[in-house]
Amino acid sequence: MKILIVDDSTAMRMIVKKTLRLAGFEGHDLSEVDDGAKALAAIKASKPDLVLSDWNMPNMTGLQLLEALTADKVKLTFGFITTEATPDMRAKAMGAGAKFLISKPFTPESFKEHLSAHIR
Amino acid sequence: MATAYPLPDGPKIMQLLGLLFDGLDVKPGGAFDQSPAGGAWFGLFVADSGEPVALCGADANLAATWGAAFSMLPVAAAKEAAKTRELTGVMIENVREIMNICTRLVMDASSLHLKLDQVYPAKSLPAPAAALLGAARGRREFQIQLPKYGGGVLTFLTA
Repeated sequence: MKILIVDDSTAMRMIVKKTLRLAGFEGHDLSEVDDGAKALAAIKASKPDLVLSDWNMPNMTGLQLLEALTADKVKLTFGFITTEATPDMRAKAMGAGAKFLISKPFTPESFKEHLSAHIR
Repeated sequence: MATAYPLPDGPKIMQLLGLLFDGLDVKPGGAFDQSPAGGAWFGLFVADSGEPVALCGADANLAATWGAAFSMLPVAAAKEAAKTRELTGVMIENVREIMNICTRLVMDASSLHLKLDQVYPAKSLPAPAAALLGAARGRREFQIQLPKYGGGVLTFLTA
């Protein structure tokens, strides 16, 4: 699978990649970008199967990215990995079409729980 | 003393920072030199309101270690930075990245959200950070070691 990791923190992208490995999701084509606007361009260019996105980012937030993808009728699986996970955020995420919202600090177990249905 | 934000323990630090650094070792305790000339770096953590609520400090040796190891710079670069008490721009950015991640260590499911405002050298702490450093209600130190690079002392302080 092609998986795109979107987070403005280099360290957090490293952590997401390592946690994917620890959760047993190895052998996938991982790529990364550091904001929502770059993600939108990368998604249109490389058509990933799954996007793991932060919520708050410069230029374009994760929610704005998801809304732009929906408006453009781009078909992929989209989920959030974010520090905060208020009920309002969860409602907005799911309302916009996100498949899951994993709140930090996350663990390999929480990755397995949320991603097993989406990573083949 | 209980504060609005939880102080981390060694296993929590190990679990999170161990995802960034293979072979990381964390032990509780250690003497932290927070003097202006000591060469430490501090991350100022603020609540969503902007109020300073916590500090994360890396002493001169740890800041140099993190600054070099995060980008896999030569070990000699870490040694030189620790000796001179001066970090390069890349090293400062790396310390900022790691301290941004460390915000997760002073939050839990029941605490309020906080975020990294900025990182500062001990010699030029802004007044709110200096005030928090002098009047923190919660404080905990840890000895951090990375293979090859060495390490130093990490501290967390909460208002």
